[in-house]
Amino acid sequence: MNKIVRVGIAQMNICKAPDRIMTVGLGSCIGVVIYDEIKQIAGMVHIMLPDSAQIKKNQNKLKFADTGIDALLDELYIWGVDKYSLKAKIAGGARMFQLQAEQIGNIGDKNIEAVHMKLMEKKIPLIAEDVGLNFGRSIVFDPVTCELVIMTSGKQKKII
Amino acid sequence: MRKNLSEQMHNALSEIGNIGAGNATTALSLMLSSKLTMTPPEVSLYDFNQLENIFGGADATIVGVLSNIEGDINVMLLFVLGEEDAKHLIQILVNENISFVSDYGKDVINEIGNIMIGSYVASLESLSGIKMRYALPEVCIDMAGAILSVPCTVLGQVCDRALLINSGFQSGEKRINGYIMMISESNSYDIILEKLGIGESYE
Repeated sequence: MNKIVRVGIAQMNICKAPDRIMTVGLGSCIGVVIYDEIKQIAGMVHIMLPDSAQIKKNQNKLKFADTGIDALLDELYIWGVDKYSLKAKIAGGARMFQLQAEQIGNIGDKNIEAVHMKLMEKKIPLIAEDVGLNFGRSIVFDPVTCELVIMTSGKQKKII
Repeated sequence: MRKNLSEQMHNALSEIGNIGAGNATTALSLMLSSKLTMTPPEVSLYDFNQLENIFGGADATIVGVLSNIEGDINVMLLFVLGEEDAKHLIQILVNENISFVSDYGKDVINEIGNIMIGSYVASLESLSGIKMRYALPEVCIDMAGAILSVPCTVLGQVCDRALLINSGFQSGEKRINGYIMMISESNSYDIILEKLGIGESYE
């Protein structure tokens, strides 16, 4: 029986085919999927904030783009992925309220940028993304087809 | 924001919530033919991961109304309602069945949020003496996880929990749960608690 592995906010998880991996209700947060197509293993981290270095209380590494992706890679290596064939797909980074930018800036955009930078640093090609705009997203990744399905409230499913 | 919510701090925030909810209920009742009664507000702390469960999961549809507060403190106030509660409140207010995702429905929700937030600000101002201005709010209807990520990203810079004031109404047999969250970096909380005279008593 294949199951769907869940990833909560500021958490990560790994799945192996035929299982799939999902996170629900991404707003300004980003779901980062890193996968090994040959071994059919995929990991996902649900990050909230761009940069752990800017924040004092940063014990939860999975909350941040930089340390979250590092932690996910460490876990993927334990699962035996081939370091040089990893690829990534990402979704999220929305701005739910236009007003919020006046006080806290656009966290969604900062998250997108931080994830891009980190993936580049780790030399992991970003194959596809569905980011920005102003709506929430739930995502499911299938390590067999390597398709990321994006579900939104009141819109059609999108596959990247 | 601190991990330990002292009893005094809890009482102070409950009292602010109480007065705010009282004002809001009076204002809403005046607009209504049917009378709303207030249910006593409850203040609780939630881990980010549990927050969405109040509304039935991260993918449940909820309604959020956000307003910026500026002045001596800079905070955002978010008023949140579950889908069913929002529909019910709209129906009581305008006495007809309208879609809550229509422009009209959103306007009604915006007005409810405006009253809730305005009442909360007024009670906070009168108790603490802190001067505040608040901007017209903005409505967003989407998945619980996505809307609640707004407070979580701000609060997430200092902690892993969020404080919610459950400020509900009773209309006949039906209870409507509305939640107010104050979204602030920790220094605004410090200012409020200091003005309320309990700044030293919690950690």
